[in-house]
Amino acid sequence: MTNINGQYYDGKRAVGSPAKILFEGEEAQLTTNIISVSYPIKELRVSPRIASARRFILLPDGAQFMSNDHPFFNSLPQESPSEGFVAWLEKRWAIALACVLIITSALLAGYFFGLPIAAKKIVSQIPLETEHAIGAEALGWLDKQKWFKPTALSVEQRQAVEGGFGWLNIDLPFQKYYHLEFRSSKMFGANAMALPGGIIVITDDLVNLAQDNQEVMAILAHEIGHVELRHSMTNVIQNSAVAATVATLTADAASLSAAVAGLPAILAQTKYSREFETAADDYAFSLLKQKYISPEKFASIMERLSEKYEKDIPSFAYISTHPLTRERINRARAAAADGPHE
Amino acid sequence: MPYEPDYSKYSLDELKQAATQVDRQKYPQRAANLDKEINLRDELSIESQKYPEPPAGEETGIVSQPAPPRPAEITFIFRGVAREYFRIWIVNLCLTIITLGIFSAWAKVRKKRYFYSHAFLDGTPFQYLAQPIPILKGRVIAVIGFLLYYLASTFFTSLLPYVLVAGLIAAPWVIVRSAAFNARYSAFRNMTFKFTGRYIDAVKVIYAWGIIPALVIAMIFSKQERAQLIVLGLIFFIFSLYFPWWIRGLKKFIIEYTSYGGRAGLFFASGGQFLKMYFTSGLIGLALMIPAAVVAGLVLTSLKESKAVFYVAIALIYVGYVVAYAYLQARSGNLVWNNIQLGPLRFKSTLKTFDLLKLYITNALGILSSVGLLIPWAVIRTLKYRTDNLKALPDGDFAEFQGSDLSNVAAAGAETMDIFDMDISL
Repeated sequence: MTNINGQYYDGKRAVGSPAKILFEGEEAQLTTNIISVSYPIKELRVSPRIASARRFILLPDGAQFMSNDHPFFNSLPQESPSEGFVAWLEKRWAIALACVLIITSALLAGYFFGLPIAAKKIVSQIPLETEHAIGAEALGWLDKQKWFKPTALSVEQRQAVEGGFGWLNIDLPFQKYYHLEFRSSKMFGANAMALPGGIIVITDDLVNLAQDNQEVMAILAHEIGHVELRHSMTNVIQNSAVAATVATLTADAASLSAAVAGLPAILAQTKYSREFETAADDYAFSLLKQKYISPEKFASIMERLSEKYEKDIPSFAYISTHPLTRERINRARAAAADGPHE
Repeated sequence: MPYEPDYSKYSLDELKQAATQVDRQKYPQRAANLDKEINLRDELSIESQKYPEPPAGEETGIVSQPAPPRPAEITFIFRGVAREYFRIWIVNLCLTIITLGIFSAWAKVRKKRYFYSHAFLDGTPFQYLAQPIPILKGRVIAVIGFLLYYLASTFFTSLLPYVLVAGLIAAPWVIVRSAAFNARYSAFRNMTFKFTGRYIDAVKVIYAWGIIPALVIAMIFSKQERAQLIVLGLIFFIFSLYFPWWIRGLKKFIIEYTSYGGRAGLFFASGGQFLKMYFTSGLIGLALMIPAAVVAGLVLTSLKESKAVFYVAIALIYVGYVVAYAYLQARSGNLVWNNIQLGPLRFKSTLKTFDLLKLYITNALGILSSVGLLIPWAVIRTLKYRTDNLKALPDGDFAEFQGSDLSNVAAAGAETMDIFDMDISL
């Protein structure tokens, strides 16, 4: 026999009355100073336990009995039985500490191993053809924004670059998908980029900046690395996963301080981006050596690029999408000194 | 077998009446039952004087007694404790991560339950009634919508206009369903709130009779760049002038279609009051950003190498933004609550810009320095500040709230608001 005091709400008026419930056998006897009703215990529903908050018993007639939490409530029929276990977990500091450890290790493992491996697996299931439409669309959009203008290079210049490009990709797995586009662009300056689906764009300024065709090929080899390593699709998958995870972690803080919440995602994503650049560089060095071109060519064109563009820009290694240029040049020289590939 | 009356159905007065009249010699059992029942009720009214737990505001609610004098203010109190909420937050976050996000619907319910059951009005806590499964379904729908938007905006840009138009069409639906869901599953004293706004009502409010979406669609689909720019300028001009009235209209829509116990909300604030608020916040922002711009100008003209000054300028711009934001949060909270009437209740909100500013800055510092572990602490103290600065001013009795309607509402709308991080809260 258990006796619990509380408040009774009939559900018809926002006024409560003091009440008590007497639990005896199969019956629960509710008594207020106006009514006294008996309900079968199995028809009651108790609201889930949440910390030490008050609990509510939903009565079969739609009325409600509210009282302070009482251990006896846990033996009554529950409105949401699955929450009982969660409430049990939520009560314990040891569990909370374990959760901190689990979250930390899950995030670190997922970020450094799980996500890159999973992304690689998923990407290998998606044929490169499917990306082609996306790349074509992106190129069309860049053209439409007037960020890209038609090339002003002479036919001879273009043929030389195209020849080198063909020589680079001749027996690569994705050979048949490669497609080189020339554009002039004020906005991008001397630049080259790999769009999804094997489309590679090179700007007039870059071709003009290069001292010889081999320097252009060194840059193209880097872009080919992005394509062969499927970086654009991997990037999409990894970045989406990071954004979704960070959004989940900071969901509660978002409305409080949006600026704080956005930072971790940027940090995490730029690290992946730098890894892609390094991987594409390594791929390029090995490809160049296979094609009898020294990675020194990559170092020399990067040096010229950095002289032209990086004079006033401060470099922050941790929020940049690219590794520091100095490091990339040094790695290229090291690869060149390493001797020919075969 | 003589007929035995069921005394449990009698009121106390009826019981006492019966006790004086019953023939105690002839029906000893009946008399004993009566006495037992009376004793039970008496015990209860003694208990009821003991029962009202803290705070003192709990209604006595005994109809047979004269009502106590009506208080001038009824307090909202938030009793959440950061340490307690931390455990709830971390356990649910952990389960969400382990289940790759599926548990997030359950987590949301647990957290909402904590907030609601620790927010007291007149000594009674609120109740959150939504179930996880509908929320999970809603989240799936919302995530699909977000994926469509994401794919269109990053890859298939030629499809973006159609997705945006679909978004324009869906937005009023999202707002209406979200308000309906939140109202339906929020309860106070065993009575839920109710939102009765319809899609078409929301269209009128959000789109000002369709002028703005017509212009937006014209811009999205017009081929000529110059025409696009002109329309964009027009939209910007109309919208910036109209903005205070637009926000007021949205708030009024949500409030006046929300009802509790048969009483719909009323909203009195004028567009002019909103205009004044936005204008002042703009001035505050500018007052801090102009020096920043001057500093930045100095950097660019003379002191070319000094990066430090440049960062000072950026910091000043950020400070200007934060101060203006805190001002807006405080003023709009006060403006909205102080102009609501719900049945017999008016409200008094006393948020202060400086307090909120302190709160935001310390929250941000705390969260940063604890790698996020202090997020629950920040959430609780912000809620506590906002709740404790809200009072209800009664001009009548809670008994005026009567009746409650319990029809089901799907969660898709509310979850779409969540996923797209929209906020229509007051």
